[in-house]
Parts: sequence; structure tokens; C-alpha cells
Amino acid sequence: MRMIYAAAVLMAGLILAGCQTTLPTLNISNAVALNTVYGIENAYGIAVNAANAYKALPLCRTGTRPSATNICAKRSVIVNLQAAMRRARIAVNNLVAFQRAYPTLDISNFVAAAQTALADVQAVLASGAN
Amino acid sequence: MVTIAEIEAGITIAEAIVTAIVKAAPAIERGVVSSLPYVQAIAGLLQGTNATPEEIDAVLARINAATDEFLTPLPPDDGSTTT
Repeated sequence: MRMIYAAAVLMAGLILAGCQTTLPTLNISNAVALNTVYGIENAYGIAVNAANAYKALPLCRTGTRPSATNICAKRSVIVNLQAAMRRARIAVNNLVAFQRAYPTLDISNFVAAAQTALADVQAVLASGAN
Repeated sequence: MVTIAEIEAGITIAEAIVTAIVKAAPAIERGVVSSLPYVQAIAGLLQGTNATPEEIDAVLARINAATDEFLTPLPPDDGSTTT
């Protein structure tokens, strides 16, 4: 009797196991890609907010320079920053679009392009203090 | 020996700096406050939180809107802001 019961339980277990056609898996590379994209997006967000804060400053008057007593934005820096920001936006949007379209492919090239574009933005922003 | 005149000159400079900072404060504050969600998101990643496609889409919409704002052209230069 006990043997019949054990066999029935075993059979039920095997049937249940059969329903599970694949083991649950975690796609690590996909998670890493998502986190990488998200990190770059948020870094870009900080950069664009800094750019907007800079642009909101009064423009420096001709012949003056920004200083502790003359907090102002240089027109030339904003114009350069706009060009750099356009490039960075394209790079970040390309990165997101590629990762979305091809979630299992390597995104390294797109990440590198976005990082380079963001570094350019950062360099132009830093030049605004001079 | 520091003279009264030197102290007064120092105070004048300090006042000018504070005045300039107070004038620029709203713009700086806006920049800091609006950056907080991005900083918090990066902090979350560092603590091990995983990003989702929905979060990526939401941030993309936000940063594209902020970029549109930044890319609006400056007013034309009449010669008084050629820097």
C-alpha cells in the first residue's frame, strides 16, 4: 500500500515536472545591458540639467568674463554646448534604440559612442567656467 | 597689520559675490533639484537595483524633453553679449 502511494506521488511529481518545459533563467547579459543603458541615460540627464541651468544664467556682457562677482553664461559656450548636446542626444537615443531592437547583441560600440559624446558635453560645460 | 579700509574692501567684495550668487541661485537650484532623480537612479544602480525597459523609456522621454528645452535658440546677439 505504501509502495503504491509513493509511486503515485512520484508520478504526480514527474507530471508536474513535465509541465515545466524550461527552467527559469535570468538573462544576465540583458540585465547588464539594461543597467548600462540606464546609467548612461541618467548621466546624460544630469548633463542636460546642468546645461539648462547654465543657459538660464544671464548672458555675459561683451568684454566681461564669468567670475565670483559676475555669474553669467558665455554665448559661445552655450552655442558649442548645443552642438555637443545634439550629438550626445543622437548617440544616447541610438544606444537605447539598438538595445531595444537587439537585446541580446553586444552594445559596446553604442556605449562607447554615447560615452564619448557625453565626455564632449562635459568638456564644453567645464570650459564655461573659464 | 590689516587696516579698516582693507577690511571694508574685503566686505565689499564678499557682498558682491553673495549678490551674484543670490541672483544666480534660482537657476542653480533648478538644476540641482531636477538632477536629483538621475542621481538617485545612479545610486540605485550602484546599490544593485536592476533597470527595466519601462524605466529606460521614461528617462529617455524626460531627457529628450530637457534637451529640446536646451536646444531652443538664444536670442540674437545685438553686440552686447558677444562672449
